[in-house]
Amino acid sequence: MIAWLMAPFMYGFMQRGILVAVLVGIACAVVGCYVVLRSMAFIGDAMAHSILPGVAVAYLVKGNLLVGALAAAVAVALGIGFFSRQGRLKEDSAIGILFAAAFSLGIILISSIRTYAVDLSHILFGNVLGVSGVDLTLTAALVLIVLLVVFLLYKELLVISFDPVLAATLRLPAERLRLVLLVLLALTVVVSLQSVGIGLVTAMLVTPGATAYLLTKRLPRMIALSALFGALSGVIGLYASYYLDVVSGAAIVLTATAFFLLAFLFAPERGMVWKWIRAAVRISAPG
Amino acid sequence: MKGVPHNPASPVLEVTDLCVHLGETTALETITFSLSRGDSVAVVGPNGAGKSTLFRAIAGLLELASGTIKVYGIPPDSHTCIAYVPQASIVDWSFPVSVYDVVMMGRTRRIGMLRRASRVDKRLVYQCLEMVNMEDLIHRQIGELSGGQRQRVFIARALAQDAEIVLMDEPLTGLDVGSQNGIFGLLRGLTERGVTILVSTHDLEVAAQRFARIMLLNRTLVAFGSPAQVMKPELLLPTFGGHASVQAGAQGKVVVYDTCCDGGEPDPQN
Repeated sequence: MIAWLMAPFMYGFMQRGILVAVLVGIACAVVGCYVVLRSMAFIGDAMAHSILPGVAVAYLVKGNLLVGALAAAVAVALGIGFFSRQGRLKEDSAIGILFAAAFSLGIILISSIRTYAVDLSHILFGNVLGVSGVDLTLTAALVLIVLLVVFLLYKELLVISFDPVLAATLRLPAERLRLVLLVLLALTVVVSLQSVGIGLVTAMLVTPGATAYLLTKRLPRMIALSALFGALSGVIGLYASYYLDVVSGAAIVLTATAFFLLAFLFAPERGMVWKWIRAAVRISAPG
Repeated sequence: MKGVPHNPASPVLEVTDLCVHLGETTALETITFSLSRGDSVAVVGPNGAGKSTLFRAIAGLLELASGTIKVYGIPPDSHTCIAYVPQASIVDWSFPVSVYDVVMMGRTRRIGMLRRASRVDKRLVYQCLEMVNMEDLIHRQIGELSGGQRQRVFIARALAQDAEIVLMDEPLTGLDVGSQNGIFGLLRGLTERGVTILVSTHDLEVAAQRFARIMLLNRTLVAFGSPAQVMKPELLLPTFGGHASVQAGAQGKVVVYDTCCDGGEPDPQN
């Protein structure tokens, strides 16, 4: 058993891969709690797609792909904040326009590179076993920043998420805090690029948070549980990928989905199974 | 961190010639009144009269078209001592926060950015919950509370915020008489502590029974005074317009029937 568990760690790329998968799982899951509670899933998905031009440009100039993605993501986050503050367009329309345009620009840039086929699939679906030492360091640093900001601004982010009117009467800088949240989302999406890719990052943002939401009624516990599910999904997904020889990003997402289904069915009080049982008991015992 | 310093010589709230536009429509015009510490006022008017707009303006959440609002002599948007309790429908009651969490939110500004709640803050939150008799439900998720209990939590949060003006939008809608009595008891306690309270309602009868002063509002300020001063057909008719039928009851009492909405449903635009 121990040999079975340790086997993947004989390879350096596997060690780095598992570390990145865990870090990304935690960051996605923590920021994902706010995504779930504030209904920001669409923004997360949009942001993931809009970083493609940044990645393409970084590839063209042979720079670090993470740095390119980071620049594009922060630009898009600030862009979304800017457009939706003007109030001329509905927020989701502004996002839809911005992200489709950026994604298209990215596709054009990438398709102009001759060997795009392989790299595009890595960007779309992640390539966690291909991360370098530099990528690992950068990921760790970004994840640390994200977690630190969520920790330090915990109560302010809670107030603007739960009760914007209270935030306004307490004269909190709500607009800036919202921007901070968008930038955190952008950083998270960028680091997820390596493990699950553009196509699946929404799942990593939403699924662990939604799972935790079913299991607790307190935000701190929801964040902790979500992080746990995110990290476990990364580890279990990579083992599945190693032993079953399947794509790692998809394996991670399906593991997270499995946790969600378990919680959906068996969560204490709120699980569907208990509701069915209660309904069955009511029918079989009339009066 | 406290808001701007208070000048005790100025009235708590001074509204002068206030006009507010919402988009193309004029929501409020030429409103003038002033309140002193510990006043408790029912703001009465039909749906769409501008009650919520007036509260949001006093809370410093709206642009004024003209006129001024001053809280202790200073515009409200620099104060952190104004608590606004909106209608129950606008909060997400399934949000994963407990009674304790919601009341602690009132301390956010006092605790300050990048800091955690101290033992003093925690004790204060507990005391605020004791004052509204909710200390036994401190760990309940807010969605698991009754309507009256939810109002109590928001009153406790106003206490934790050290609010000097509390604006409550239709707090009695959907509450049974027992819960309403409980809320009135708490509001009386607040005014005795020097807190100034404005409560909006479309229930004129409750307002006349429970409040020393009534403000009749319908885009303009129709009347402001004691129940005896404002409960007159010539004032109530312009307030409620075609929606009310006013009858002179026995012993000079005035009976008003709101024929518009059965007094139940809140106006989504209000």
